[in-house]
Amino acid sequence: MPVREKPSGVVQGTLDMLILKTLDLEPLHGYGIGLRLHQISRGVLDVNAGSLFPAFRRLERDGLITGEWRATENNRRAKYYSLTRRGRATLERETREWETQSAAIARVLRASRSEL
Amino acid sequence: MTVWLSRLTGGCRALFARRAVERELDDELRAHFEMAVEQKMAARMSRAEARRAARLEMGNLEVVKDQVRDVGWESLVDAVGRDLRDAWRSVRRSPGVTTLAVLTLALGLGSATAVFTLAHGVLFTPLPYEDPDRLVQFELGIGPDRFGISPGQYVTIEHQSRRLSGVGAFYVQEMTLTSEERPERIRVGRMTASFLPVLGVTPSLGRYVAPEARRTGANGGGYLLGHRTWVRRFGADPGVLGRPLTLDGVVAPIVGVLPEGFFAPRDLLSPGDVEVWAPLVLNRADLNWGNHYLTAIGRLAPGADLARAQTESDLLLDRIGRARPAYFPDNVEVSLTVSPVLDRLTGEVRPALLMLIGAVSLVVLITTANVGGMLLSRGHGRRRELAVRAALGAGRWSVSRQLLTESVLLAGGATVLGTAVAALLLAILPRLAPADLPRLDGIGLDWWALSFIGVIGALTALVLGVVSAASALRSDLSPSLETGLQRGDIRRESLGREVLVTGQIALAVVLIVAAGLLLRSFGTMLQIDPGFDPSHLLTLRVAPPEGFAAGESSGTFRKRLVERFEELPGVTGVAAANAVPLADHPGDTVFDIEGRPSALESGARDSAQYQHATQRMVTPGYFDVLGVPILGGRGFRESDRAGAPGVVIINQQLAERFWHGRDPVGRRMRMHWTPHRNGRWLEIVGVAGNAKQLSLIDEFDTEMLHPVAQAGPNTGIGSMATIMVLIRTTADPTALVETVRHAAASLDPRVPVYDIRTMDQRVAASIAQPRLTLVLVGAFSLVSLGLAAIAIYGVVAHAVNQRTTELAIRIALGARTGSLLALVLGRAWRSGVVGLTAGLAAAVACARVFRAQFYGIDPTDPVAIGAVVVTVSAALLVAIYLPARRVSAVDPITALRVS
Repeated sequence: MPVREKPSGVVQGTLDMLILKTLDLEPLHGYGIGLRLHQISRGVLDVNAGSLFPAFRRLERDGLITGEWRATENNRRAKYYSLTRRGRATLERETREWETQSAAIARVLRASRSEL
Repeated sequence: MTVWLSRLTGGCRALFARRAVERELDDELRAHFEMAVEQKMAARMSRAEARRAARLEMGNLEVVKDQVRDVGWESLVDAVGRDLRDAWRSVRRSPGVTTLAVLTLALGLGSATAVFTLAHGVLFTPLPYEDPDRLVQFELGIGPDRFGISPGQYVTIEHQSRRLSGVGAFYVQEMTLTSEERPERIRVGRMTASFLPVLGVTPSLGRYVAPEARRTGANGGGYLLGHRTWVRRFGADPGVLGRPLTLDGVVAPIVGVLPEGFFAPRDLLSPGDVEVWAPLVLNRADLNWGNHYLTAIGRLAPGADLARAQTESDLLLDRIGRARPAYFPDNVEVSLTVSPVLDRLTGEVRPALLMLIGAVSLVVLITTANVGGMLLSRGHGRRRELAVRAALGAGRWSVSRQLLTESVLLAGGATVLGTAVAALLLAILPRLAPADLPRLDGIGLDWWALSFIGVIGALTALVLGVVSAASALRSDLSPSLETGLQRGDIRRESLGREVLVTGQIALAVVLIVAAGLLLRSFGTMLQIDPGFDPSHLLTLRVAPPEGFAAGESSGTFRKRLVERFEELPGVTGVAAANAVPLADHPGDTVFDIEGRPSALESGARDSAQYQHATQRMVTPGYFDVLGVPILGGRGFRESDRAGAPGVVIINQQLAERFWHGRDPVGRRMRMHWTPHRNGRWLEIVGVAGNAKQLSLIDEFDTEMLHPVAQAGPNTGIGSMATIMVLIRTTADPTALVETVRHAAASLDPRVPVYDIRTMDQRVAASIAQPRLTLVLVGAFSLVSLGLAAIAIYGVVAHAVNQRTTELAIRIALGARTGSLLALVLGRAWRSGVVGLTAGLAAAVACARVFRAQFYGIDPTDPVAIGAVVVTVSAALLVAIYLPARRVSAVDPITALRVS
């Protein structure tokens, strides 16, 4: 049985949210999604194919994204993913949760003795 | 949940349109790759460089695809299919072990299913009545004896009970059914009009005996046919309604047919199948209070429970006793018990069946442990194979999944085969079973049985899988490749097998002790002196033809019958009685002794002083023909006829209990019916030896015997409705059956001759149930002993094989055979001794629980236990010795060269 790799540099579980967010801006193919994540994160997040494609399959299975074969600007056929309605709802919910949590975590990390 | 739906459809698509899904994934990855190449070329890489960089970035594409495939649940289906194929291959690679394992498991699963199905059918299947859990049955206890209830008591309960929403009663009698063919004696049930409504049963055809039967008399309501009778005698003809039926000469129409599977709640008073039901009309103007012949059934009223019904019945008994004090003796305990109908029906066989369930559970444990041991030793040999798999990337989970799959295959095969074993056993068992084991008819391989074997088969698979997976995973697999086995592995592994073997021996010892005790107690039963000579004795029942039913003519018929049989060749003696030992109960009475307080007058509450006896009517030849000795006084003579002074012979038991060693001959006693009506005084003319009543294992009853010539409707002794004939023969009595039939027919062709059996057959039937238990537990114990022996054999053989090199070195260094044997046998010995000791302790504890199943012996019977120890030790010694012998055959040169 193959060993599952960890997504490089991405907190496990947040990759799905990032993909959904990327697709919220516009429908994209797999390569484009990886590139976009790289660009927006200014090179911090580098997601390889071994993490991206299972995530696509997972999100597709759960009905959060849907794929469609289309031609690229270079006249190549590629599978473009776009958000479904349920995907958008999930993204909004998860974003809210994330913000709440990260704000809380940030507060904890900044905590100093005087706040006790 | 739409998420589940989309997952389901996606997974199904991946399973069933595998190609399309795979191609899409390929296309997508290729597009990804090419886009990456393009991008890199745009960053001024050469084409070759760009391709190389892109490949590095994406990693192994096959791995990526695997990861994508693993996302969906369908990957599990794929994996299971792969595991099954692998398991099938591996199972086929060792056909010997596989066959043995499957057979062993099938034996365990099959016999367990058969016994559990039997017990379930007999003990737990609901009775064929509406809401049967709410039905209760009444039982009157007087001293040590148990009775039904009398019509007077029944009517009291009917009128006064508030805890019961309804009561009904029935009794069963034999009647002669007259048809075009020869007349037959059949069992006829007589039921009150309320009986069927209380049970909640309605006829499947026609109507039930209507309430108007109360007014119109005994047969006004007509007859109801049992379903089987309807099919057998009337070919299931729906036009049977209204046709006349003649029972004991009384003609009445058939008014209905009872539903299939219906039977009356039986008790000791009315065993057997009832063919026809007729109305029972109690004479309410002159109720009988002294004869307790009714089986009364009640339905608990809403809100009432058993405890409350019992409280009420205690109260009712109290009222009955105060209203009719004369009917209850002061000097013994009287009770009116209310118990669930199902308990009354199955109470007697329940302990035996529970014991069988216990025994067969042990068999399942032993077979599972045995196969577990086999898998362990096979897993040992497969260590290398598993190590290779691990080296090729198989994780622990996937290795154990494969082992689990193999156990599933084994247990699955065993379940299928075990179902066949169970079907076979279920076909055989009812034939071995005693005739009075209730509800055997419907028992077979039903849904219940199939679910049962499915569940225990699955459990077995799980246990075996866990055992083999645990042993495979406990040690690190990788070193096996390089160095073969580690020392610690061997030790741990043989410890596992040792525990299994010890457990098997212990469990087998429990079974063998049970079998030994049962065998001993059965032997004790066979040694029982029934009080008469059962060999060369033919017994049969004859119903006098209609018109002979009463008066002198019945005596004439009986005399002619006896004379006719006496003339037959090979017959040395013939006697007649209303009942003979081990056939039917002859009836009983309460008696007075002249010059002592009356039977029911006050005295100490001591059941031994309850003046109560079985009552039998016999011809003068009875004692001689049956072989019952006259111990004092005389036997009956032809001169003890009607009109002569009344005489009675008592048995030894009665003489000892009430005369305490003094001679009772010449004293007088009489039957006590009511305070105002008693039998005439009868002179005791003789004391006869004791004879067993209904079963060999019953205690002797107190018994009064009357000359049949002094019995009759007006004597108070009763008349003989049917005649039981005893024929003493010189040769095998079964050879005489047809001759006897002909002889009776030559006297009167209308006479039914039935219930023909040799006395030896009756003796055997009376202990049929302990025999069945013995046969089953005995078979189980033999199988278990065999399995335990095979297991310990395997352990020793394994030890010898594993240590051949070591032994060879030791031999080469001059070790003697004795010390080598000790080396190999040490562990096996420990298993044997610990298993035997633990098994004995457990067996004695179990035997105490089932004490009632052992007749005449103590649960710690030294003979049985000694025999068990010897047998088990001998079997284990042989099983240990055979493989250990090979130690001395080890040739150091060959052995060392091989390794």
